[in-house]
Amino acid sequence: MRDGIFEYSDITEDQVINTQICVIGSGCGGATVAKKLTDAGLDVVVLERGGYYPAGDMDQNELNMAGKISANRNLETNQDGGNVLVSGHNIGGASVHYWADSYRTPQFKLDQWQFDFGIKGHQMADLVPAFDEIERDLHIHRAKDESFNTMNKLLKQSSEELHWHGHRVPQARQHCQKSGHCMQGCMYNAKQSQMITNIPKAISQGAKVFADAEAGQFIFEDDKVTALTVNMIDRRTNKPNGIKMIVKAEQFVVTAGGFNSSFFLMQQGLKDKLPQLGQHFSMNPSTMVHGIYDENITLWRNIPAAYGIDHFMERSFKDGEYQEGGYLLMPNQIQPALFAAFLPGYGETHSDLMLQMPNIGGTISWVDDVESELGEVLLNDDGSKTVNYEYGPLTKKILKDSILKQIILQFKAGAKKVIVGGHQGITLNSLDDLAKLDELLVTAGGLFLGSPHPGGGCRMGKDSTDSVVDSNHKVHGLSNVFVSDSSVFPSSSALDPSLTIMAFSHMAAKSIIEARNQSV
Amino acid sequence: MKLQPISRRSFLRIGATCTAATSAAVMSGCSWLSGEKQETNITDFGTLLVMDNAQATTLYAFAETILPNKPGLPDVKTARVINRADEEFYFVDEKIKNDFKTMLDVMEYLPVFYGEFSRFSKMDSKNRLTFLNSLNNTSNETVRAVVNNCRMICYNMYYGHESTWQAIGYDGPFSKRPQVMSEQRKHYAKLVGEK
Repeated sequence: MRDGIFEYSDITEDQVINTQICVIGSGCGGATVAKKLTDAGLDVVVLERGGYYPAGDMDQNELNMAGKISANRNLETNQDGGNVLVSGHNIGGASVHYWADSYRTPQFKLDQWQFDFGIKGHQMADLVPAFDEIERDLHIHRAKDESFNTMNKLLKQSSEELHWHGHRVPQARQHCQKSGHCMQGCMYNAKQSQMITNIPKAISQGAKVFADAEAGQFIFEDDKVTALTVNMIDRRTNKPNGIKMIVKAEQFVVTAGGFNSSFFLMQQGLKDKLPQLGQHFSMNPSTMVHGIYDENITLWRNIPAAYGIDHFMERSFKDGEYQEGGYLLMPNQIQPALFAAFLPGYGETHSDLMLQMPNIGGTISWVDDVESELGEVLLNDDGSKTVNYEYGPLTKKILKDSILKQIILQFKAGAKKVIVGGHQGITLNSLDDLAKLDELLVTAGGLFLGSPHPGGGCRMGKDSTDSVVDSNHKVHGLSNVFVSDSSVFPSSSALDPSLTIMAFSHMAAKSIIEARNQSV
Repeated sequence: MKLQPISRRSFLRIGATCTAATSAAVMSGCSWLSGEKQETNITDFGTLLVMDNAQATTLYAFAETILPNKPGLPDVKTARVINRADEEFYFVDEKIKNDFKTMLDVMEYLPVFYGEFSRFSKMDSKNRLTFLNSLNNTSNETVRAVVNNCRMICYNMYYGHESTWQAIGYDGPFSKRPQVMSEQRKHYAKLVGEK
């Protein structure tokens, strides 16, 4: 046992654990809800399928760390192979590899969720106390000048010259060493991941946290779940080692994340009762554009995104026709392995670019998924998972517009050439080459996209005809099962969802406590 | 190079046939390491746990085609592209692992589907590159998925290896801390008989 966390090597025989609340998952949702429930003096068990990799286990090596903290080592794609699916798989979940961008939920999104999807009790006034508390606990602050690497400085200056509105990105970090290895996990414990914040707080307040513990099957009694079987995973093989636990609890909270919470509930045979399970899946698809500059950019050092351009956050239409927008623009940051994968071309074409890596800058867009063109998570007959996400007509227009704006931005920032990665890929020597955008295949596998912000699948709403959970985060038709992560979002969160997940988890914890009080 | 059209249905059917055919050619053995029965494939690239020799040969041919052959940059074997890819896919979900193997089988026969008289690994390097470039405008999304994922894996493994970093101007991990091998990396090394 390290730092109070039970690991596979600590559990040597089958056992039964009794607790008041069992939390499945340890990311932004699970860790936060566990912390809030232990604040209230409740007895909590947290189960995490992945391993425990504290700072001493980190080496900033891109492939090594993907193997430790990323689900399926960043090698999973959606069904058509066009989108790399990125999620956490370790104590602390995706918060261990995220960029530490910590946004309050945009007001237009909260309004959409309230007025279009009917969710209650999650307006800004409801969430502000949670935001205040989280921002204090996680030392969230606007990025300071010292956190601006060359790319961030160039984008800030060029966007100002273009009169595109931007902002300093709120950051959950303290004493940052500016290594640029946020995606490999922070070995300096500067990034305020759940692994070093809410998890240890919950443990100090009595929570029992298990790594390498895979949630198996719920045991039902009428509309209640009374217990959960758990398979212990041998971290060496990444397979069950035969040791089982049974967790008996009064309430269960599913926090397995946007890719997995709906999948887990489908594995419990609930799809017939909850037809919306797995539906309305969003993933904030991110287009990337690179530029070659005369000056040294060194994109891989300092924090990824100190500056964000929110000028195009909301889509604009004229006479019903899409005009522009529907995304957030930021500097990009990836280390060489993923960097290479996202550049276009083969052979000399590609290696000539790689040899200029220090002079290559990059931008990324976080596309706010179109509500009528969302994807789905499926449970296959063989028990495996499929993520379907086809680009609808409006989505294609937005993806293309997000690329156009990145091209304009990078030329303004001084790029001599701008490159858009994709099956075909295009290179532009100036804005006069914009017609080349028409050659770009904005379709499955046509562009190289990454998607680290999954949401939906357990949509919050009125009843089982339109959703999976109610506004109290309780699963429809089950009296003691709750969901507390991005899977409850009715639509995409539009930008990094971590702070929204945590604030929603405060609301979930409140509902769980109220449900307990009512039953007493 | 003129490409013949190919339907998604026929592509997948032929892909499944390729998988069955190449599976029959697996050179496999068993080892008893760590008390675990593990099928191992003795290949031209050493002991592998996921790919058979034919699949590894296809991936090697793909990697050799798209990766640089320049002074100061390592070759495919030095950067351990095949071995690291095998290791990475050993630990992912079965579905992803199987998709990976099927993808290599399909890649191997892709030129045949397009009217070439050769499998991918049997083409010479120049023709392979010409063939890949000829697919740039394909409207077949399955072909795009196969080619893009092959290239992603090759680039990922190659430029993730430290032997490439100096040439591309990457100064490596900020901390300069030596690699911290995970339990899984140690386990894989043991299974394939490395230290």
